[in-house]
Amino acid sequence: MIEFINVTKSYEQNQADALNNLNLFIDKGEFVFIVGRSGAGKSTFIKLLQRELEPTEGTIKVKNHDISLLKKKDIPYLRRRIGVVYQDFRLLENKTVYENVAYAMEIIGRPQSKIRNKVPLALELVGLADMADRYPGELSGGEQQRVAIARAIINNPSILICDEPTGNLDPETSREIMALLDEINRHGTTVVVVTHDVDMVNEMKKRLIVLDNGKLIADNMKGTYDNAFA
Amino acid sequence: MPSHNRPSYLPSIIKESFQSISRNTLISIAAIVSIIATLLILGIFIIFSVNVSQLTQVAEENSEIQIFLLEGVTQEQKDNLLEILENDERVSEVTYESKEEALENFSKSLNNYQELLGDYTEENNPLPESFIVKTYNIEDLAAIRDLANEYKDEVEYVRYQESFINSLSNFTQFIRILSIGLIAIMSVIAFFLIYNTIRLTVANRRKEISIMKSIGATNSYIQIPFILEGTFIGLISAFLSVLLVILVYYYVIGYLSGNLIFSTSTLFISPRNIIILILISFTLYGAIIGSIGAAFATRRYLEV
Ligand SMILES: Nc1ncnc2c1ncn2[C@@H]1O[C@H](COP(=O)(O)OP(=O)(O)OP(=O)(O)O)[C@@H](O)[C@H]1O
Ligand SMILES: [Mg+2]
Repeated sequence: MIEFINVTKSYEQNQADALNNLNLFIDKGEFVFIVGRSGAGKSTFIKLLQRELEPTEGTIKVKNHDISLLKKKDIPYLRRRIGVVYQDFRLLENKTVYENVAYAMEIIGRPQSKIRNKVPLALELVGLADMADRYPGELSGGEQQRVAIARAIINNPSILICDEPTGNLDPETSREIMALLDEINRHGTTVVVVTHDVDMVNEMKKRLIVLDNGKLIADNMKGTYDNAFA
Repeated sequence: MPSHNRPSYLPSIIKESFQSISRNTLISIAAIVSIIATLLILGIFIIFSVNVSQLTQVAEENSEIQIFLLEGVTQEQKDNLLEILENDERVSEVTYESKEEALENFSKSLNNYQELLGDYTEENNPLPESFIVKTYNIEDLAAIRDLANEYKDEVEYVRYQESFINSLSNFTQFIRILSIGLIAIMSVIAFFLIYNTIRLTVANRRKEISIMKSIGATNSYIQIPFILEGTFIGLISAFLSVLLVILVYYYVIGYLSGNLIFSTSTLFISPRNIIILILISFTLYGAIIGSIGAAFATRRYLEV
């Protein structure tokens, strides 16, 4: 589903590589944690996958297609297949919760009747059914997070990526979000969760990939952070 | 679960363009004013051209020379001259106008000012009798004039108006070049004002645009609201200009027909006949300059 082959990314020539010779394969239907300290290269990984950035070296494949071969005008279609929940949520401030989620369907040309049916279902799934008419500024961090998740899954992407989904949340809310992601994964979506929430990783016991200074230093099935370096 | 029976969500694109116009009021107004100024010149040009071409046509249809006869020429002399004119193969029509008819026609053409002629009667009528000659080709009028001028015992003078047609078409040419030049310059200004209006909007919404792009919106989808916004600005300006031009034209015609000695109804085209032409050309101009200006403004910012 996702394949990184000898991928190196450096932002500036005299700076250390944000990613260094990364090799990685994530299969269809997997649930994967990527952990690493701040600056380890986790967000860079996501931006490369969406072709917001181009790798300095190496090949990135999504569904077996080398994404560097995509024409500029086809990039939006790559992004539609990968739902991303960003570290900073990236919600449209002047749209309501409902409109933010509906917008993702509008841009791919779904009819209004479909949108009216599906958006409330997605909002119910993330537990925001009664906040549809609020603006992002009127929501807590965890609620905004869930709007971003609803938007990311609304078009049934084959891959869902969450950058720091439990970043500023209390353990209780974090656990709810994780349960939600687990649920989405059980319906067949490949889920990649980027985090430095070690407790959460240890609790979930999923595949664990550890990045440090742009290098992959561990990749364990059913890993916990404590034994990742063992 | 709350029900969502709002209107439809499709017009959200249109809603966005209006919101954005009202956010950038000042520069939007500058763009609108500059388009209106351009269209006013275009309007004056259209009205002028249409009227001049009508005037030229009228003038050409009425191209004639009038041969005024000396006081006291005999019937024989008149018949003789008439025969010569009628037998000339270049001449299409000769009409005789007596002194009485001359007075009557002059008095008619004076519209509301007939009392100016009130003192003249058949006895002291100063107007001469004349032949009005039309030719098949306007160019032959000069030759007929020269011919008539040879009959010095009968002909007092010949009124000849070809020079009027010539100077009219020279003047028209001058106005045309002047207007096209002005419209071109003003269009460039209007284009850049629209361009900057939209660029400002795009810059204000840079973050939004990057969000839209990151969830997979295509460039053209993102561009649509901005292009609509530019088109709206163009159309608003166009409609205001149509109103303005037509009002001014009505006012000017009303003013002229109240103040001119000669009747204006045949001289000027009625605003009713010109409104469609103005409406169509203004709407097209507004829509085109608005959408193109906006398209250029968004293209550069979307290369993210
Ligand atoms: N646009 C950029 N220009 C230059 N350097 C950058 C840029 N973005 C990231 N970097 C650098 O690349 C490295 C990796 O950054 P990245 O954002 O991928 O880290 P991260 O693992 O997501 O960190 P965090 O957990 O804080 O979000 C860092 O050293 C960062 O300073
Ligand atoms: Mg990050």
